[in-house]
Amino acid sequence: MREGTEPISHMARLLLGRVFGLLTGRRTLYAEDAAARYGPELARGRRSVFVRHLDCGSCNGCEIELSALVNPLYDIERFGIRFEASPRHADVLALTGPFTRNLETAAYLTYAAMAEPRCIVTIGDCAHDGGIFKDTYALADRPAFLEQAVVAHVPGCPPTPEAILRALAQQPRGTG
Amino acid sequence: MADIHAGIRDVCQGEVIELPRRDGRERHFVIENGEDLLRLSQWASQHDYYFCTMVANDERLLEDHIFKLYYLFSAPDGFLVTLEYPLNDPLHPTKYPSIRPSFPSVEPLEHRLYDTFGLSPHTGEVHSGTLLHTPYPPEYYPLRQGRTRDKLEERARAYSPPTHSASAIEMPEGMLAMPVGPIHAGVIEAGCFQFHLAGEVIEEVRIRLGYKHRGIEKLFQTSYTLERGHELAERVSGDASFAHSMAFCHAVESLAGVEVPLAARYWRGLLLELERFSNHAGDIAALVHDMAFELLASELAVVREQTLRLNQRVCGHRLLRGVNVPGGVHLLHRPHLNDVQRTIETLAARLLNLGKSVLEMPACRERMVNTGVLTCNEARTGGATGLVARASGLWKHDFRLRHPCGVYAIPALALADELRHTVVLSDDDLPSSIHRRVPIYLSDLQGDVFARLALRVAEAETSVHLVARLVAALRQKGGRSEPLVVPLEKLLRAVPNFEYGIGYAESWRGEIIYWLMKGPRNTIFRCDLRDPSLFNWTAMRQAIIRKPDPRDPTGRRYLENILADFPLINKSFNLSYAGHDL
Repeated sequence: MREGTEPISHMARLLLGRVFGLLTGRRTLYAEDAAARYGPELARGRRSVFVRHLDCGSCNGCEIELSALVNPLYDIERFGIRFEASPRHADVLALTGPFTRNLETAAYLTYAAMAEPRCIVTIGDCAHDGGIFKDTYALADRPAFLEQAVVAHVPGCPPTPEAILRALAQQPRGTG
Repeated sequence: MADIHAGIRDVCQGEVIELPRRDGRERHFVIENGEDLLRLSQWASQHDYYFCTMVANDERLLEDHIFKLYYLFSAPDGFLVTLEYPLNDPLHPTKYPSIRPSFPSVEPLEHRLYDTFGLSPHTGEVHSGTLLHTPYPPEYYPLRQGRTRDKLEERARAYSPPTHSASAIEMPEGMLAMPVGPIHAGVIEAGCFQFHLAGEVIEEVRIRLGYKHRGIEKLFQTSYTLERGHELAERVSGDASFAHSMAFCHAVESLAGVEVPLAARYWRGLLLELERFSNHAGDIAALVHDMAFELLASELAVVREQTLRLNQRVCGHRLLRGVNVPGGVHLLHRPHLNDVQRTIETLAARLLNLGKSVLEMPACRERMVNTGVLTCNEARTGGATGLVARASGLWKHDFRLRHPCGVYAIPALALADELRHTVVLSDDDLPSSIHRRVPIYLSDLQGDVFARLALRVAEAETSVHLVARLVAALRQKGGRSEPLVVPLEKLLRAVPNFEYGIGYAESWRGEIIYWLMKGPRNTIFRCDLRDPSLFNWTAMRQAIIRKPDPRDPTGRRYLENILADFPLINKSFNLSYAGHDL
């Protein structure tokens, strides 16, 4: 079922959810709605995932989809997922791009600034193995310690917001 | 008279050879004398020529055995003029005369050529490290022919860059240096800004880019053919995927000398306008978000998201990738025109309502008016382009009008009429066939954040009108059986090697230009591409720094921006880092 094609039933569902919530005093209206749409795993965890985005030379396509997650149609914060301004606060590093030489140092510093345990989710084909940019001179090798920190990969060029959302929601959550 | 022949007759003393071009809208001259080149470029700058790009080419293995430079200008009379300058001085095979005095916008290109080719102007005013930072060995010059990927890789691997201890930035008394980046506090691309602050006022900003350098030009040449290069072109700058692939395809098609089928031209125009609409909606949303009007920003973000979903329904990809192919467009199924028409109408109504309320809201005007001013003069001399130039009052600067190609060149559709009335010159001037729901007047275009926002709203409206016309044209055409793609492979094989083709498309940021030289067996011998962001980064610095207000006759008033204005100015330009870094 494609979203946006049947706005009326979507609205009706939201409305029903709201009435239900008011009657029963449950506060996770959106999570209920999300469970219906994205599967139960998203609604399962009630703790938060703080995500720091790290651009390692992407084409900006993955950034477009990451920023789309904040808009009201995905509204990622209802799942407790938040984009953080500082790697110090982050549970997960969302890495995009093929890892260019010029960004190597900055990427290490960002990773090192995270608190342990550090997790990386690679987003987009080129963050996996260089993707379409695999054969250029401008890519650096990702060192083993970064590779080991990768807990999930979201394929796609760019992946859809839903795919990213699913991957982020399944990550180990912080204590917050 | 702005005819280039008149210029050559007037100022050139040495021999200038004109070579024929297949496309009647292009002209090509070979200038062997450096002095002539300088004089002619000065003449061109006085006659309202726009400097498009400078392409370097390593032709040392070809018949001439030298480097060559190709200067590309857009002439006011509608011609694309190429000036070819061979670097034929045997004593200085890598030196060329700089046209910087007449076209200051060439500066970032000169720095770039120094990094990638090792070419430098006679005056020597270039520095390395704009694209290739410290991790690269000196004299790397990746775009020279014969430097294969393996050799380059090996050299970079063997090189251990010098370790610098962090040194304090020297600043005058009372000033503060504030470096920001390259990793920013948000979901943004990577780039470094160094602000010089006096109190809160930004006196100067140094913009350092190149972090995302992926070696795309080399990759085109080593791993792609003319028939497949569009796949990479789509991934140069993700938000302008369609415009990039369209410009690439245009270059290949002009090389092959074909015009794509009519229906394909309609689709290309339609999708280009959809891309423009979605990005303008996103930009307006981001600007409003930065002014802390969250409710409006959320509504606008929904408009953008719905446009991306429309893209998905039309061609199967939210960023319109995989549609353009050299020779036409590739659609999985014929999309429902009703869906396109109805969705875009609904979204436009919402966008224009919201945009209008933002433009009229006093609190927003207070933030935007006189913030980040790029004056008309600065825009012209600095070579600013696209929406940024238009918002500074150069409202005719649009490649869809200057050099119409594809669907914009079809007189029956009269798309140029719509485009010309994006900015309302006066209410009497508006023909009855054109209706503007949010009219923007020329007096609004003062080059500040407000002007850029207003123009985004106006251009989004124009795009909707263009989409409506194209949908009507496609509906009229009907013809389901007509193919959307012409096969190019054989045609391309017939083109002599080392012929070049120019392709361009007016993306939502400004014109994207591809310069392709064919190699043997349909390979790409040289691909040079210029994203509009390249020139506009310089323009953005101009808009941020403290400077005398040109509108004040006493010269005592200054245009100033404080640090908190920077995010707003940055969003109002919304330039591509990836497109700049390549």
